[in-house]
Amino acid sequence: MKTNFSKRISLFLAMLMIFALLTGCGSETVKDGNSDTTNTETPGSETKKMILGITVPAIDADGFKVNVESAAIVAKERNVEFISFSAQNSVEKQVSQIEDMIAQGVSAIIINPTDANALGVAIEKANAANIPIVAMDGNISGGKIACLVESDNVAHGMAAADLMAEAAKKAGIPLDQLKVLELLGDQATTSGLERHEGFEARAKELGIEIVVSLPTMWQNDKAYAATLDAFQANDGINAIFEASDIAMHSGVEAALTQINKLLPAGEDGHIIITAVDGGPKGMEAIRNKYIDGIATQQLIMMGKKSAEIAIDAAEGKPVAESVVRLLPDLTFFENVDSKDHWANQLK
Amino acid sequence: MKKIMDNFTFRKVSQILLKYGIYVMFVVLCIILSFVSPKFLTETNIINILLQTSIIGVIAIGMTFVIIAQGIDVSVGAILAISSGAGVGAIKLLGAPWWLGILVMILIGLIFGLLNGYATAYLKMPAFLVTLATMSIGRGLTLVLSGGKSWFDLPVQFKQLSASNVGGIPVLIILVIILYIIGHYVLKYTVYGRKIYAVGGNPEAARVSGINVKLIIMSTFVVSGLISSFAGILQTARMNSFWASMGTGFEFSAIAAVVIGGTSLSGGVGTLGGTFVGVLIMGVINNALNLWGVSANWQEVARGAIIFIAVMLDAFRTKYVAKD
Repeated sequence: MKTNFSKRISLFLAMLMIFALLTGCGSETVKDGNSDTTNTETPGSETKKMILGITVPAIDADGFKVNVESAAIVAKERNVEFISFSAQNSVEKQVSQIEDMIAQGVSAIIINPTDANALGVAIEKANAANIPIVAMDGNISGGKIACLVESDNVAHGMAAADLMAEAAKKAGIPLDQLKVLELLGDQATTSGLERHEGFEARAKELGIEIVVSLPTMWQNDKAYAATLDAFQANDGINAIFEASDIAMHSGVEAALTQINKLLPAGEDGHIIITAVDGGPKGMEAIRNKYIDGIATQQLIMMGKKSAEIAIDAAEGKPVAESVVRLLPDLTFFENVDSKDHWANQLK
Repeated sequence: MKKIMDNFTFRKVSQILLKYGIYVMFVVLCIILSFVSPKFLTETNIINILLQTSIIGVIAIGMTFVIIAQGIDVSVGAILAISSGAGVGAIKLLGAPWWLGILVMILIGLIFGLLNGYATAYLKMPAFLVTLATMSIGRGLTLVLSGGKSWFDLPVQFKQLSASNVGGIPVLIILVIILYIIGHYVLKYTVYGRKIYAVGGNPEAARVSGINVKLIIMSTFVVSGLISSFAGILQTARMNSFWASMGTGFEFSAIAAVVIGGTSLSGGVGTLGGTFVGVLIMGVINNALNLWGVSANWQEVARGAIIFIAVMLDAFRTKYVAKD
């Protein structure tokens, strides 16, 4: 009796796990709940309605969400059906989603690549089916792409240096007396590398000294450790550049709190902080005056521009530029509440 | 006769070195570093290192239990994230009070620990694959719950936990040390602790001598799950926020620390004292690399090399010590 019972429990648990696995990592596609796919009837339209498809690494994440929602707005404006997929950070899933969209006969596809080098085969299939591809926020190697729409990461890094100089001026610190801790992202990623290059180049032009550059691998806990260590090793650090406020700022605030250096701008001993990205936490930090300025990504524009180009290409219009690089949207205390910043679009 | 003696002393010395080598290595490392960098052996820096290693340190306690019993648990980082996500989610989305949030976190750790333990011990599923699966489930559920968002502006109690001091020492560090003392006592001086070693050393012999092997194995995973969710509480408090990718890679840091600390991956051998030193060695090296401003790429190489050496020592230890 007892063994029978435990056998049953075992079976139940085994099934539960299999179920969880299937639902947790299964290849189900998430259709965007917000996208309105009902036909707004076009009088006299004899041809089939165009469909714009989009796949992003994680549809729930703040940034991608704004991308997708902005693209959906354009699709609606232009009376195009809109479908969206989340690749759940898996290259394989993204490939099969692209293949599904091709099979479904979509008119154009926007891809925010999970991996720049692993999507070539899927792109070639789309090329063969004459479906234009727009790469969003990351290039894709292999196959032909109608257009690449991305943030100019070098420009974002440069803007962060400019914002730092601006904040120093306000605080009455000469630029040659700035001592900067640079928190790097992951140098194996394009955004990590280019933001660093941009910041470093501009800092050099402005005569700002970068005392030390430490890796964080886009992780808050590493940013925390790096900040503590940098202040321990170097006297007189008075400014920090975060390659991403989303991935680092919680760690930086925790570390500065620990060493009693978290002070708002205007107070004596304030550490000047600038960053790239402009997520919700970064916006809050600007409101609290802990962050002086952020080179915010234009994610709304990115989604809209991608959708416009994709629909143009599907309609057979020539695509003017093969690469669209978006400049940063400079964010600071005076304009932090503007609706133009993508983080303010989130509820 | 002399030859036997020499042989004997050689083996004795090498055994002692292998047994206590990790402590010797740690002391030597600290002495070298304090000569190289005057900033190293200062009160602030020691507190920095302890703070930086506190979360991995807590996780490594549970990992030590699991590995001594011949298991492995790669789901710890994901358990940290899902506990924090569920607890903070309860607070932010449902308006739960802070203590209920913490209770939710502990409960999630318990559930994952039970699932890992039951599948490994009773369903005889391989621990690595079980915990790999639950890691995926945990990470996925974290994203489902949070929608990939991060949450900040937590109840003030979290900040109080991370910001308070006792005699200049952060409470976070004191909590970690207390956990180590409790864990050490349990492993070393209780019947339960000895059973874990017995099961890890030789499961068949343990079974014959009347130990409920399955229950012991399952219990180690429960300890690991609970401890990981506790680490989630500490991490949430320390950063005063939750973010979906928290705890990424912690499983391997914890496993590395445990192995560096002399716990054998083949089970039955290991101490929490060793794990503590293992965690500190990793922390001290990370700290030193940052103090010197070593570039990102070389930092990775250095970390990999340290783990390699530690596992090599483990292999030697198994080879020479196990001969007796």
